[in-house]
Amino acid sequence: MRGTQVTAVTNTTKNVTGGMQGDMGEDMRGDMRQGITGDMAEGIGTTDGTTGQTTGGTTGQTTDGATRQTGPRPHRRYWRAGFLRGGIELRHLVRNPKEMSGHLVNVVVALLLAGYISDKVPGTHVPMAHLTLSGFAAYLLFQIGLVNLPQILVTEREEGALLRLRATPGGIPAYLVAKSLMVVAMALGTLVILLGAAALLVDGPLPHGPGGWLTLLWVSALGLLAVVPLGAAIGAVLPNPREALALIMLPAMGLLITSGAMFPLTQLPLVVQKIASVFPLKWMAQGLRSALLPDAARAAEPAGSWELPTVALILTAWAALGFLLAIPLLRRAARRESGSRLTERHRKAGLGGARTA
Amino acid sequence: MTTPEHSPVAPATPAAATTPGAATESAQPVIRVSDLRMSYGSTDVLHGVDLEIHRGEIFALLGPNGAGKTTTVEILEGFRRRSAGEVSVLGTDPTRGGDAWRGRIGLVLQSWRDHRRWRVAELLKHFATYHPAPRDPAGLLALVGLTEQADQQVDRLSGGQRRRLDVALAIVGRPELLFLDEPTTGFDPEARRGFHDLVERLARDEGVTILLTTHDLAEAERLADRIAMLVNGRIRACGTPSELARRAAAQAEVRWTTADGSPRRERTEDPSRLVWELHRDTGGPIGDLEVRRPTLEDTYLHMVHREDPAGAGTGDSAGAGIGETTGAGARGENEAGASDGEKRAA
Repeated sequence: MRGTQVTAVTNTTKNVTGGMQGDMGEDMRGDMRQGITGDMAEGIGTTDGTTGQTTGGTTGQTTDGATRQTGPRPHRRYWRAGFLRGGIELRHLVRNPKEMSGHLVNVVVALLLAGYISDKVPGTHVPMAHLTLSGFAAYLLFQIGLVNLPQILVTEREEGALLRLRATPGGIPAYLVAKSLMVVAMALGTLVILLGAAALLVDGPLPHGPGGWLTLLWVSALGLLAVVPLGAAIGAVLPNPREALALIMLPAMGLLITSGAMFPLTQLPLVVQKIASVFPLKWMAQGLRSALLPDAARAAEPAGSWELPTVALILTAWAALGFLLAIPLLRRAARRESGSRLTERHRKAGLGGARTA
Repeated sequence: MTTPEHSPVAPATPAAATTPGAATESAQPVIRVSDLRMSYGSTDVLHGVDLEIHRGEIFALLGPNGAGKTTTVEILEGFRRRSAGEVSVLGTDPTRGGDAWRGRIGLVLQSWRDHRRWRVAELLKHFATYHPAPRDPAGLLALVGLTEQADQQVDRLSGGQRRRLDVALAIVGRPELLFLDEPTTGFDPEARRGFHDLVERLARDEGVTILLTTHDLAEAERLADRIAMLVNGRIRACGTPSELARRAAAQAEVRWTTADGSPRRERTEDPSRLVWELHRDTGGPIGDLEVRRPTLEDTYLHMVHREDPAGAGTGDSAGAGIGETTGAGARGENEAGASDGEKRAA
């Protein structure tokens, strides 16, 4: 009975697929249980979105299930909302000249630098500019995860977007979907623009053959996975956007210099090399060099090789650590949001009442 | 179990809503709180709050800053865990409220300024996608009077427009219960009037239960079917606005000008009788006749000042004793910290 009701009132009937009907028995039992106990799972749902397992069941309604209409299954609705949200946010980003120029200025700096550098990677015929551009590509991915993302999270937390989504059914899962989409799109856009513009304007590096492209793909993806959850964890903890920027930028810049992104690692003291090799940027840069530079450039690597298995291992370890940190911290951040805390923060920030009143 | 009737268009007559007893046919209250206690560390913020709010009712929670209003509301919204007591909101304990429960609740907070870059209609349409059976966004924009601003960016809205957008976002999923947190702070009178009309329409026409916290006593008096006053973590009084006023000060003030032009004023528990007697005595119209009932503000200030430790009032008996003092005069006396609760000879 409930199944037919879902079909009848859904406004996106294409969502009601056979697979969904198959799941229905399970969900109905879930509903019955919830109906009897009136018991709902913890409502934060912070991480559930990533696995698509939102809490609540099909309708989650108690006895009123019969009178209250039910649209497409919540999971699908939340995923759909997340994708829509991601698309809208991207559109806003692209249409915002200030923010777009903020992202593009990095690319311009990289191109200018690459245009100026004319020497070769020591011991090779590979242009140094190629090493620098690969390093910049890695750094920009690193920055998206660890600088841009935390800033977005802190800002949206402070403005109350996170609280509004928390108060919306499926809001937090949809938020995570949207942010993931956003990060991937930003990373892809940055790489395409940087490498594309470099190739066209300053004879920049491009992967050699399918193997190189494949390496570029997996190193970028794994690199993002290493920094994005970490960035989310940082965004969940930092107090406000202004402090956030100050706290993040300094270490990020330090790593940019010490991770061999700008010039060969072999030119740095061993201690610095050792410290930098703990952090993901060094390995992201090394992985991208392996994708973008000819094998001859291995001569400038401390190990004399690209060490791709180590790259994979260390980036995976950072990804795991990031997820371990991000899940409880995001949950906590979402749980702690409330109207009074929002007001309190606004007061502290000296923003006062309604800004546009 | 929950109430059997969750239709978003449940009819609710004002008469039924004003009398708590008359709401019994809708089985359970929308909000039921008993002996709610909250402490932060060693500080007790709520000392056993009891509340029942019924379907279709507009309920105002009043109280000075620090009285525990926000804490109470945030516990009801599921944003805070209570220290002790029973709380049921729409038949569910808010700490266990899942997505489906969330979907039945709407929230309007004063400090929201999110989604600034979004366009008004875009944002509303987006939030409709989270709900199983949302309202039509275009119709909703018309309802809150933002049709003209549909394509405007959210951060270009005025304070009043922004708040009305918040209401639209809060009700797009057809909630049964709406929390309004000081919704008209910073509004101009016209915007406030428009907002009140909207809130009343939601409650009267659609049976949405509304819990309003406000500092604006006139707003509470105008909108609320019932008002609870929360002072120092306790509900000091609860009833219709006129009940509260009557209990706080049984005497109304009658002013008039006598035939020889001298102003007179007199306090009475029965102003109608006094005016009738005046008419009978003078045998004609009475100059500058004015009957002033004690306002909610009188009641409120009276109650808050009673709680002042410097005053002579005995806090614990306040709920029972608010009828003991007289109207306008009591305020000044309380401020002086004297003769609180003392019966004044007429």
